[in-house]
Amino acid sequence: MIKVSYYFDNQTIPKNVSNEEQRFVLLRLQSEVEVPRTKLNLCFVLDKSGSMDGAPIENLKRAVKDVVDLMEEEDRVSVILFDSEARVLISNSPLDRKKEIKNRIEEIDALGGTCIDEGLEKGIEQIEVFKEKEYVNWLILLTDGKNEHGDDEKCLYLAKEARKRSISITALGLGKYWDPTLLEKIADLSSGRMFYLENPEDLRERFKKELQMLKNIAFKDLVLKVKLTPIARFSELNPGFVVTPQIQRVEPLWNGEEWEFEVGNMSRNSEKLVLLHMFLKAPPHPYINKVAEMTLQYKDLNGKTSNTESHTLIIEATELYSPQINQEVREVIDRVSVYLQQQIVESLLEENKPNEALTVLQTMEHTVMKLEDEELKGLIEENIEKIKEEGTISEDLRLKTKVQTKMVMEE
Amino acid sequence: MRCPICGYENREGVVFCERCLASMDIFSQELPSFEEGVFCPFGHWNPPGAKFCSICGAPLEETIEQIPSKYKLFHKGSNKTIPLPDKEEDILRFVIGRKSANSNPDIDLTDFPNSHTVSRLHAALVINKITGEITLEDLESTNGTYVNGKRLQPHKPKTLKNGDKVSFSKKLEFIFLIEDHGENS
Repeated sequence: MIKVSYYFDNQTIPKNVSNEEQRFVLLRLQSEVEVPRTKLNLCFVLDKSGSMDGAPIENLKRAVKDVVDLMEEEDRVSVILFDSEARVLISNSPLDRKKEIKNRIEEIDALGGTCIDEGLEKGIEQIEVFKEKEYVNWLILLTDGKNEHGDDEKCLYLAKEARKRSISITALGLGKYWDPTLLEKIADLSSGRMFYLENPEDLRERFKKELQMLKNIAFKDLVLKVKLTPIARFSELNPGFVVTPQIQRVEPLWNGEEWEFEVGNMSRNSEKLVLLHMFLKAPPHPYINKVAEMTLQYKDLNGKTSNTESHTLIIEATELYSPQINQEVREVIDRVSVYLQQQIVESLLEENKPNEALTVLQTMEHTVMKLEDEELKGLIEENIEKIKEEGTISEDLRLKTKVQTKMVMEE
Repeated sequence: MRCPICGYENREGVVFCERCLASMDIFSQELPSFEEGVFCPFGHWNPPGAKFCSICGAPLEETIEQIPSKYKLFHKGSNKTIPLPDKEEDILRFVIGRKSANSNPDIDLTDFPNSHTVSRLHAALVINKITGEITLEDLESTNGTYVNGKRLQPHKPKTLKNGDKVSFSKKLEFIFLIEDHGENS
C-alpha cells in the first residue's frame, strides 16, 4: 500500500490578508509491503542512424543483450529500430528463446537519418500487442541525434498517448547532438525518466540500471486527486512538480469534479516527493480552515486499483503574519528553483545574453551551496567560468547541467 | 514585484517567484546587469560600487577612511572596519542590515561579501553606557545571527565582549572590538 503525508511551507495564514497568499504543499508518498515480482512488457526503440556506426552501435547491441539476459521468461520484449523510418526488429515476444532474440539484435547495422516519432509509434503498437494488467509497460528510447526526419509535435502527442495507455518512456540521449528539450518532454509527459549518456561505454550500465529500476516497480499509474475549497487555487504557471527521482513539472487535469495529477509509478519500499504550488484567499473561519481534500489512486501488480484514505489539508488563521517556514519544504522549493532557473539560463544564452545568464547562475550557485550539493555546485561553477571566458557554454556542458539539475536522486 | 532573476512580474506578496521559484526575500533588491559590474583582480564579477569581491573578498577599490570610534566591527576578509559612532544618548542602538527601498538600517552591510545572505533588518547591537552592557539581538533574520559560532535565538539579546566573533548569516563574519580595551589597558 501507499501512505501519504503532507506539509505546508507555512501552516498559517493571516486572517485579514488582502492579497492572495502563496503556499506550497509537500506530499510524501511512501510505499510499503512486499508485492509479487514485477512482470515487464518492455519495448526498446533504438536509433540506428548512420551516426551510431562503430562504438555506439556495438555498445548498444551489448547493452540490449545484457538486458535480455537479465529478463525473466514470462516478461515480454520487443525491439524497434529507427532511422529516417522505423521497423519492427523483434515483435512482442516472451523471453523463452533468448538466444534467437540476441541473434536478431546482433544483425543491427547503423545507417540512415533520424525520425523519433515513427519509432515511438511502432513501439507503442508493439507494447499494445500484449497488454495484461499485471504487467508494467515501459519503453526505452535511445537516440544520438535530433529528430531531423520527424515531427516533434507528434512525439509529444505520442508521449501523452503512451501515458493514457499506462506506458512510460525512459528517454536516453547519447553524445552531444540530441535535443534535450524534446527528450525531457517525452519523459515527463509519459511519467518516465531522462538521462544523458556521455560515451557509448555508458550504455550498458544505464540499460542495466533501468532494468533494475523496472524490476522494482510495485505500484503504477499513480493519480493524485485534489478537490480545492473556494479559498484555494493552483498556480497557473507552475501548479506542481514530481520531485523525486527526477524533477518533472506536472499539469493537473480537471475531471469535472476534482483536479488530477499524474505522478507516475513507485518502487517497493520507496519514497516519492510531490510539490504543489497554490494561492489562498483570506480564510473565512477564525481558526481552522479547509484548503483541499486529497486522495491518491494507484494500481498494484495484481491489476487492482486502490485509493488512499482521503486527506484534508487544513491551514490555520492567525492575527498576524507568521514567517515560520518549514525547512524541509523550503529545501524542496530551492531544489526545484535551481531546475527552473537552469532553463532560464538556457534561453538567455540562446538570446545571446551571457551577462544576464551569469546573474541567474550566481543565484543558482548560492542556492546549491545552501543545499550542499557539491556535484551540482561544481557544474554551475564550470558554467560561470566558461561564460566569463567565452561568453557561452559547450553543448555537452549544457546537456550535463540540464540533466543534473533535473536529477534529485538515482533509484 | 518583479523577479530579479527571471524578470517575471509577480503579484504582490509572493515569497517565491511564481515562475522560477527564486526567493523574493533574499533577492529583494534589483540585481544590476553584468555590463555595469566590476571584476576583481581574480576575475570574479561584482555589482557596481562594490568595494570588495563577493566571492574572494579581494578589495576592488581603496577602502574607505576610518572614523575614530570606541566601538567597532572589524571584517577580517577585507580588513575593513565599521565604526559604531558614539552619541549623546545613554543607550546607543544600531540596527544592522541591508539598505533597500523599504529598509534603512544604521549599519548597511551591502558592500560586504555575501551580503545577499543578510536580511534587510538583521540584528540590533545595543550599547548601554550606564550599565556598560553591550548586547546583540537577532531580528528574526532569515539566515541567523551568530556570536562565536553559536546561533542566537530571535529577540534574545546576547552579551558581547571585546574580541567576540559576530556573524550576520554564517557567511559574513566580523570581530567586535572596543578600542581602549585592547592596546591601552
